[in-house]
Amino acid sequence: MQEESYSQKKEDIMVDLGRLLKKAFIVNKQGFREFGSEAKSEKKESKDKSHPTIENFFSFQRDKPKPAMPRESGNYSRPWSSSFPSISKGGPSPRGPATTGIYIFLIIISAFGLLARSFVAYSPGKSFAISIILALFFFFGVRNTPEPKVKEGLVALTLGLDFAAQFVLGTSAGSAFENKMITLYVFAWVILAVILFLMGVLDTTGAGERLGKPATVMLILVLGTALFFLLPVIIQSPSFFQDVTHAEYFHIAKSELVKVAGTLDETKNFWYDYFTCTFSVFDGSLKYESCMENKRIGRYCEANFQTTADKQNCVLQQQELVKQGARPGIAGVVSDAIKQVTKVEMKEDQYFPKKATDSKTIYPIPLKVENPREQTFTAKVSCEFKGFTAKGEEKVPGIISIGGEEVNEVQINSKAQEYLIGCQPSADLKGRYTLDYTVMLSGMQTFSFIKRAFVSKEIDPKLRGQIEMDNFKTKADRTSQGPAEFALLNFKFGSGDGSSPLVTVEDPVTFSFAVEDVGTGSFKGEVQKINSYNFHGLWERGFNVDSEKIGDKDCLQGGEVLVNAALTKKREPSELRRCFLSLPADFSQLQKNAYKIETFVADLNYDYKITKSIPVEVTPLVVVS
Amino acid sequence: MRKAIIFLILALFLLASCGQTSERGADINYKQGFVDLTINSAGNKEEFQEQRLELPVSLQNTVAYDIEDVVVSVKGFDNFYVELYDEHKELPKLEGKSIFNPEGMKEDVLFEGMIKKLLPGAEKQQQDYRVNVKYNSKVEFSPSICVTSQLNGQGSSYDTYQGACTFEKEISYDGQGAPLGVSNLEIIPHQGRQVELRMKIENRGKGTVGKVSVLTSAIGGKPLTCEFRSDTVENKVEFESGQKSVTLICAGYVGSDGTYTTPVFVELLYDYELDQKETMMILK
Repeated sequence: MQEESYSQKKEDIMVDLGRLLKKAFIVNKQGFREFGSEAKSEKKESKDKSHPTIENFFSFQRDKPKPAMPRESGNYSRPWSSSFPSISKGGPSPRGPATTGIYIFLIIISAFGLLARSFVAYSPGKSFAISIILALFFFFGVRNTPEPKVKEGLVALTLGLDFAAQFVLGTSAGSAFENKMITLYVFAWVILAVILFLMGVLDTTGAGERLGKPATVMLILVLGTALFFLLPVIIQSPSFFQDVTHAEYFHIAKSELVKVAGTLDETKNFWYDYFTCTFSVFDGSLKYESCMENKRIGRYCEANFQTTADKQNCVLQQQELVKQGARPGIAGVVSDAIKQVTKVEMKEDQYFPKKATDSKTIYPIPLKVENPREQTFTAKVSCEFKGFTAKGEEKVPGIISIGGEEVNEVQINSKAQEYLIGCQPSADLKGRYTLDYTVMLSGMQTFSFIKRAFVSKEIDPKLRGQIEMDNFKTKADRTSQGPAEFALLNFKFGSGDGSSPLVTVEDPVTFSFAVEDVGTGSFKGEVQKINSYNFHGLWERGFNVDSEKIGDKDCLQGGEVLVNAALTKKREPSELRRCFLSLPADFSQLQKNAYKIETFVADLNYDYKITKSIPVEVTPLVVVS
Repeated sequence: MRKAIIFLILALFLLASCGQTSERGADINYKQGFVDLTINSAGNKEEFQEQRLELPVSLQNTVAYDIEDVVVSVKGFDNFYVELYDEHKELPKLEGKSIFNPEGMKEDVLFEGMIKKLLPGAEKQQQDYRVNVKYNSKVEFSPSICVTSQLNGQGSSYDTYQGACTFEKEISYDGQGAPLGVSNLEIIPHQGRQVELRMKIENRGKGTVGKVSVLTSAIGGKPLTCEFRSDTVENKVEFESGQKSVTLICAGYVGSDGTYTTPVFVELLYDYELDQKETMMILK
């Protein structure tokens, strides 16, 4: 009986608490009012509502002027925002006292948040705490600006996205959107701060006021940064890295934005080209890529030819080549038809000691190789522990063992093999580290193929259409294709991105190739080097490099070519060699409605680097004597 | 009684047989409708890599006229996968349908070649190819039409009725047993005995017509002067890509005054190209 009355009491208290909270919520929704002001405003409101019939007669009613807040010296608290300089000149605007200070302060705070997260290596717990702190700053900040509800909504949305991104990244590593998610996660608060700042600028300029000096400087900075990153990104979209640890988030997010700039590294006059071409985009020509290409041509011809006439001739011929291939990228796709593909995978299993007490424990990881075409290549493994301490970045090299033996290289030639790679730190570890396993695959072999129809200019348009319909039904049929391995050798005849399937035999036939990095998996990969390439399908069939025209002499067959991510990781990788081809007699003699369809195969030998990063934590046991 | 029944059955059988013979023979007019040659590619739908390829193609001339200079080709194979030793085969003549050969002449052609190796790691490869047939043939247009030399007050003889026949200005036809034929005839009488015939020559076959020329043209045994309504003034025309019809205008004189039925004979020579899409799967 006593128990019953106790529970009843408890229930009553809970109901009262609920009511109280509800009331508080309603009051909060109506807006906090200062003590004493409520009665006055209510009085005024009741006065206004003296003729409800007239008031409600019109369905579309005018907004009532809001009652002014009394400013009594005793209980008036100065808004937080007013301690900052105004965003506009000329005092408070009718839209409210939008303040530069708040927005600039929020940008600075978000930048600090970025640094803080980077410092804690994006560890989930600490990142979560930083997100909460940032959210509090933003909530209090925007409450003192005009239209706070909208901005509070944006803050809540950002916080939600931040949490969602953390949750998704923590639970489903390796998802297709992972890198986009990381970028969003890392830059979310900075983006929000910039958006809020721009909203403030729009508020001010919309009210016909001039921006203050700090706001102008910040606006220039924001727009300049956006211009720097966005222009090339719009022109050529970046590709994404693969699996990564939390510690690498910032670098990935950064590289996502600046990757395109890397493509310009091949030119020594980066800044000159960049700004000249960017301004040409503003001129309205919107041909950033061709502008960059023209700069490259100019330097190439300057460096390779002595006389002015030769240089001019070179520029004209190169421009002709560019005109025929409006985009210097070459499309290619992974073929579904090739079922036997070489795969190399490194994925930690349940035995991997993510948390260790032994400071020199061995970290094992299986290296699985599927080699159905029985190629011969080597895998050279290395490892390194990267830690972040108060002193800075600490790097501890690891000692590699393969299958228990202290070797770091293995030759692969059978259909399926699995090796257990061990990595032991060369020094005692303590704390949190990122363990990077690197596997250099040397002598990887792949091939690509392309199907083309060779026709005369005079071919019946109906037959031309029929050839395309019969032989090039899918998008994949129109480009070069290769097995789903690590590197794809893309090649093309003629103009455009290489997806035009018909080659007219009367026209000069251009040929070019590129290497695309298509390595996917739970690792970060990169084509390191091309050892050799051989378009044997072409030269065996009677195609030759036209030596009378400008172009690379080693267009169809060659040795080592050094490549970088900027060349290979683009959606349409940059061409490495380009030339004109002379056709075999049976092709060049095709007339009227005669046509030939043929597939050409090419081989590629390359080196590929795989990096697998895993976070580890070492907490050595303390021996108590 | 039993003998009488057997006799009756035999008699009925004989009667029925005689009746069929007469219907199958001279009474059937093969020179009607728009008809195409029949191509049958009897090759395997699946073949294995690195094997000999035999591709039999069967042609049946279901057209009502003989076809000549027949060239059969197999086109569209990707030379990387399939090598044909001979892409073209020539046949001198294929007789058309007639009372002596009601099904039309049939001819088999064998294409031989080699199926090459598939790409490394590939398990199959589809090949789309076309069996193409080119030939020369003719088509005859030989109706009996009602002509008149009597024009009404406005210089027109439309809807004129005479006892001998009813004059019709425009007559439609449903082909003459070939893919190309006359589908429409317009008869325009002029002053005196002069008459103009406008014929719509139409290709309703699945193939494409190349050159068309007028070999013979006559009305009531008297020659007609014909030319195609196109840029050319000759009695030849070449169908352009996608073109399906052309108008032939012939002028001549009828033999006598009044309204009467008279035969018209127009013989056209043409070259024709027909192809059929086929698919073959190469397996490992």
